[in-house]
Amino acid sequence: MSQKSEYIQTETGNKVSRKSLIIGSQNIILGGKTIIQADCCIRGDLRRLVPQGQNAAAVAIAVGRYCFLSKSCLLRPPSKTYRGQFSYYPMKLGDHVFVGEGSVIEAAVIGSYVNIGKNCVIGKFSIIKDCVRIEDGTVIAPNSVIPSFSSVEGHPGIVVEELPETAAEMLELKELYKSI
Amino acid sequence: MSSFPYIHISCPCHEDRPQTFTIDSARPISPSKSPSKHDFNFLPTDPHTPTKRRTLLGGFTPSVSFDGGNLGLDLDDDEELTDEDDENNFDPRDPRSAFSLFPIENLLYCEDCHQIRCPRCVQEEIVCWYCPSCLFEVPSSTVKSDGNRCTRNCYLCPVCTALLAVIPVNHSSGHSDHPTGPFNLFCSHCHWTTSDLIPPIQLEKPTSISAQLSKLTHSPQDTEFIRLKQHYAQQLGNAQEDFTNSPAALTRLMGLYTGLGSGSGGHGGSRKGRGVKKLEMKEVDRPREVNEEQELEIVERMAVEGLEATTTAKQRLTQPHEPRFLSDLTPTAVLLRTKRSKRCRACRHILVKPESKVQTTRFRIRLVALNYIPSLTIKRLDSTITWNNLTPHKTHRFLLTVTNPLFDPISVSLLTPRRTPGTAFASRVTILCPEFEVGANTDVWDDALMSTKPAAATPSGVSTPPVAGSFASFSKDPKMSTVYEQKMNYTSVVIEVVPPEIPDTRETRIRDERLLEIPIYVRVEFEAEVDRDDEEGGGGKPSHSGASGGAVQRERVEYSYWCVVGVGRVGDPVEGVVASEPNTPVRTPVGTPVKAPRTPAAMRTPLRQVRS
Ligand SMILES: [Zn+2]
Ligand SMILES: [Zn+2]
Ligand SMILES: [Zn+2]
Ligand SMILES: [Zn+2]
Repeated sequence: MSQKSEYIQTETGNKVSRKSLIIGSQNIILGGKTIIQADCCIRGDLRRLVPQGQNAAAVAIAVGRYCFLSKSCLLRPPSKTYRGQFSYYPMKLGDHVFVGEGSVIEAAVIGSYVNIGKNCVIGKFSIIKDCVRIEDGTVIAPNSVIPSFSSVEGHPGIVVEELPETAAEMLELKELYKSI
Repeated sequence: MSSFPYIHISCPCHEDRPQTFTIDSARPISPSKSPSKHDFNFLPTDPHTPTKRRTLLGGFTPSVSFDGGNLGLDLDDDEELTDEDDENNFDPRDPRSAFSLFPIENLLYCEDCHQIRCPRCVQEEIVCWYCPSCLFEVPSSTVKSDGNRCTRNCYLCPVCTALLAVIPVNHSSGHSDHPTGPFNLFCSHCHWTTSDLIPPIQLEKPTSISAQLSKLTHSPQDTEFIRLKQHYAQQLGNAQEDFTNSPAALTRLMGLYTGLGSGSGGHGGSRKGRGVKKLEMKEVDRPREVNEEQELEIVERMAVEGLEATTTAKQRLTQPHEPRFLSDLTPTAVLLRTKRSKRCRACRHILVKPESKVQTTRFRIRLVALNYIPSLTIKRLDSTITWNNLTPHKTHRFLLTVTNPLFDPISVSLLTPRRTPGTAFASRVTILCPEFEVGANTDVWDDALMSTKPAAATPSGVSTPPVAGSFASFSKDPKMSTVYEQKMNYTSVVIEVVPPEIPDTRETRIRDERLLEIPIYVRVEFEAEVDRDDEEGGGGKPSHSGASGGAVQRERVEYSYWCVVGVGRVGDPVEGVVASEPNTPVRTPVGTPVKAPRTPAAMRTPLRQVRS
């Protein structure tokens, strides 16, 4: 287990690879028992702009428990120009979210028990509900909503299959956490 | 088909022909044990079972006939005997099998029939309709009157099917506080907009899109549909009452159809609805019109604009007016999705009932097979094995793990035909330890042992699984012929597979002969509490033993099912690896239950394969 030393373990059981790139960590919340692999990039620095005088919105990226961010994935808060003002908006990931290698996430909300395959692009402000599987190479268009118990494929990603009632068990990542 | 390895369980509904029961006589299933409530698919019976019972049990008569060698029963058994038994084995290549094989997570379980239920043997009922995009529930009355598409603001790009956004036509107006119209529907995936249409569609307001669009995109097909609807409403003789809206009217309508269709008066007799006499429905007699001039116009337009301007079949068929040109496509309203409950087809009991709130993923009732029947997983014992390229003549060793979801310990027999059936290129298969025990499932153990003592020091004498390589060490390892690993509620045994050399011809490719699937018959026995008639159907696991009052009887329960292990694909022959007799496995004597030393949990194997 030479990999053991690769991770820094936090008090809440998060294991963060020393080779990952975490920017603006004061704006990032990790729920615990989350694994961040090498070459992941998490852009906590891209947080919401607020008018002067107000308190800055503290959280740019919130990640739940038992999430797994595979090698070379990128979490970047979504951005848009609203009423002439360009700003980033917070991103929230639930529990048991798996992000495959090389995927780029710009979603607004990702629920719990979500498996995102390799080399996916989750478009800006998309909302992915609980119990969803996104196949390798899927491109989710910006502003999409993916309802629960969906398997999504293609670009743009469309629901190709309904997941069975056991989806939460199948997408649970506790065992994966233990194996690292 | 899923990637390797996979394990699919055969739902008993695939068998509807009479079967003979020829299980090895050395291990008779005692017919004296009357089939109990828990005794779901064990049916040691002659082919003349009363029909009633057979339908209840889905006709699942395990027809097993194995050569004793696999069971470790008959050491002198002649190997060639297996060929005779082929027809009794479950053949994964049989066209009939294809429809009944499902991963365990797709299977439900009926507590009343004590039977696996696959998607084919359940009946679905719609609990609610909702738009998958705005996630609003749509009342079923609205679905009946307005159709099965979202009537709010959800539209899909007709070119690429991504969700359309509303943006102002004039982009600079986006900088003001209140964007002013007109508005476009814009696809942020392929950048199609409603301005691309001929004539362009532009909306005045950014809200109530459906209302605005329906005015702008009224096709002749919509008119025709309205005409037809009116026609049939009149035919019903009650144009005032919208027949699609009231449930009473709908049942009446349904009754009429069944009465007319079957021709038997039996049903109609009891029903004397108002409309019965009137219902001699006349079809609207109007043939589909093809206007030659229009068609020629289309051909000319194609000549000018080129094929790139035409729609694909998929784009064309999702629109009612079947446009030939991209510029004629209109935004598609999002199709509604449903939440459905599921009933057992045999006994009508509810197996799945989701909560009706759209955004919750909880279930009120959820009887999934995962909680009732032991599940199998398979792993490579030798990490050099590539699933997609198994070497002919080489002995491949895999680890089969049986996990017990029940709160009682179970004894398991795994039986497999010695040669994979249904093919001229049979692989040799041996399960080295086909009979073993699996401990009870205890949620408490799981957490206590796993999280507090992650590495409970491997006790001496328990060797860790050897990594890659030397087969010599494998054959000497006594664990090979016994239980390989036994912890908590799962047990692993070794399965040896020797694939043959399969030529790469057109014929073998068509028949996909290189696909290596192993049928395994899983038989489970355990002692469970019976006489629990008061138990709720509410998703509890069976035999969850609380030693609570009453005369709790324990009874021997036994059941079985076929499953198919997709091990991989056989590759090209490798030089130096030639056909030889496989190592004779150390056989376990009959009747001696194999007991492996119980080892404390050191490291638990993942129960499910996660994407790696
Ligand atoms: Zn079935
Ligand atoms: Zn909608
Ligand atoms: Zn598009
Ligand atoms: Zn039933």
